[in-house]
Amino acid sequence: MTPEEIVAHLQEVDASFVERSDIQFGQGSVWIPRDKWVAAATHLKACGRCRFDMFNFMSGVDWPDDDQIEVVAHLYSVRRQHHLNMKIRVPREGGSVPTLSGVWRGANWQERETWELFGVAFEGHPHLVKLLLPEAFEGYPLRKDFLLMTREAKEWEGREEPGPPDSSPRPGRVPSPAAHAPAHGEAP
Amino acid sequence: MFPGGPGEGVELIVAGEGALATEEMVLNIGPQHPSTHGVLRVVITLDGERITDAEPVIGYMHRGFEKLAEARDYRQIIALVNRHDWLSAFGNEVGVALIVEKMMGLEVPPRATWIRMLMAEWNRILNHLMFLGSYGLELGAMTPMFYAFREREEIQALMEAATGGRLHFTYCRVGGLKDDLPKGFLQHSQKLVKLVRHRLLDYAGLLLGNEIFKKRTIGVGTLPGDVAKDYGVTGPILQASGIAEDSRLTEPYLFYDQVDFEVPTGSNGDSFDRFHVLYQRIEQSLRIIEQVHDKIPAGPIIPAKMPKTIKAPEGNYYLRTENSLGECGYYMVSTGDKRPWRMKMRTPSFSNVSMIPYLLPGILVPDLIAVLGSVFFVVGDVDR
Repeated sequence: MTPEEIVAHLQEVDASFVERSDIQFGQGSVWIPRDKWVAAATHLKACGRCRFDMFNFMSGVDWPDDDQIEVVAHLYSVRRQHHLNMKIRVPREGGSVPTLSGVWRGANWQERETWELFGVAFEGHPHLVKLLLPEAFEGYPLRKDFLLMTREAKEWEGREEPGPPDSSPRPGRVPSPAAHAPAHGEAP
Repeated sequence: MFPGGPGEGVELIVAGEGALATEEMVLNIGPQHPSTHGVLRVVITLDGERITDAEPVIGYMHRGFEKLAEARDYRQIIALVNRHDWLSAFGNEVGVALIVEKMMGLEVPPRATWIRMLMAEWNRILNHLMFLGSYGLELGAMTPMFYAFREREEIQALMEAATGGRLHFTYCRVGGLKDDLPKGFLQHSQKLVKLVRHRLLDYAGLLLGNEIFKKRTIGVGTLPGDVAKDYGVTGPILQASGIAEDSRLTEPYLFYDQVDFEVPTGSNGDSFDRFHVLYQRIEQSLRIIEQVHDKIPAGPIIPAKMPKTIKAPEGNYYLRTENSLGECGYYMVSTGDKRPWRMKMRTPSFSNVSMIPYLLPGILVPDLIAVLGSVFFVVGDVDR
């Protein structure tokens, strides 16, 4: 099916499945409301016309301006050879998404990864522990306000910071100019 | 010495009726173990010799590529992605070049596309030879490893002539390639196809027809196709489970729709099938390379009109390529800047390794390495 047909089909099955849809570069995305997330996923996998039998990947995208994190699950159908991005937006603080690990087994690890890198909790996940990062790691590295460690220790001229330009804190161990520069008229 | 007679004071434990009572044991495999090709730890729970539970512990080589990509422009990312699956560096970089070109709507000259295909297939053979050799080594056969490195050396020399690199090629550019092929490259490549095809028979003789090899791999670690798809397993492992899914065929990128090749599949999805599919994939790659030799046109390798700055327009797109170990895709989110807002790497080894908790329970400890080795993966590709 083409992306348009998949969206139309989803709306036909249950109008509340699709919050918003969008096609970019020929690839379809649907935003699904939180309470329909698992139901829509179950339908997409089981329905004979969709048959999304492969859970390709899941990840997040941080949008600090909207104070939201977008969780993306990419589905592919080996049988029908079509793609779909399932998307959901959650607040950055305390956001959670129902788990898909009961629908596709592959969601288990993908959700663990999304949780540790973005701080989005997955409700009902059987084993939500750190996957790539060490146990004691603090913070969510793929959020935009998490700076690269090397950049935090040493600023790089001509740098391209991942975050908004003015959000970078002063490099470590460098006091602010007010603290080390002599006040006007004082002996250095 | 002992108070009382022998045996006195020793409590005799009598097992319940029927089976002998056993106790579970937790065993650590790795992080340093030859069969893991890097640092992967598998915590297995044993009941006697039988594995009851397995939990891979990954992340020892996590280098934060996705974060690093957000601080680099698209040209720099090509050098970066060379490094996650270090055995198929060219396959990785071509994916990034393709997705940026697709988003920008850049037209790539046909010669560049054909050369990309040629390099991607040579790189695939380079990767598969490594696993052909090392899998034999894991099962106790030393010779295939030496043979594999003999062929790898020849292919690396060929690729080095064009790219200057032996492991990390960084030959792709957004829009085309770094350099054209050197003089005599295609003739050398043609000779090498014949050589590798001839020498492949050595592996078939040493391993595929080997009674010990067959006994250790046939019926061991069977993965059904439905479960494989559920886990997002791709590449030779999925094909060995009987599913002919290969994005070179189903969603052709580059010029794969203009060449003839087949996707080999297995029938049982066991370790032997996975190895056999890998072997057949080399034959198919050689077939593709031969056709590329005939079709490669003359012409430029970079578009005449290249934009001064490379900026992908706003939007998101996921592009997948069939890399050596499976589907390697990049999900790019751009805000119209010269560096991506977010780049998700969908690496084949990550999904393939996530299937290990399904594959290992029920098998015996002596089969562990035979099964783990047949889930061909590169740890850098798992951890990124």
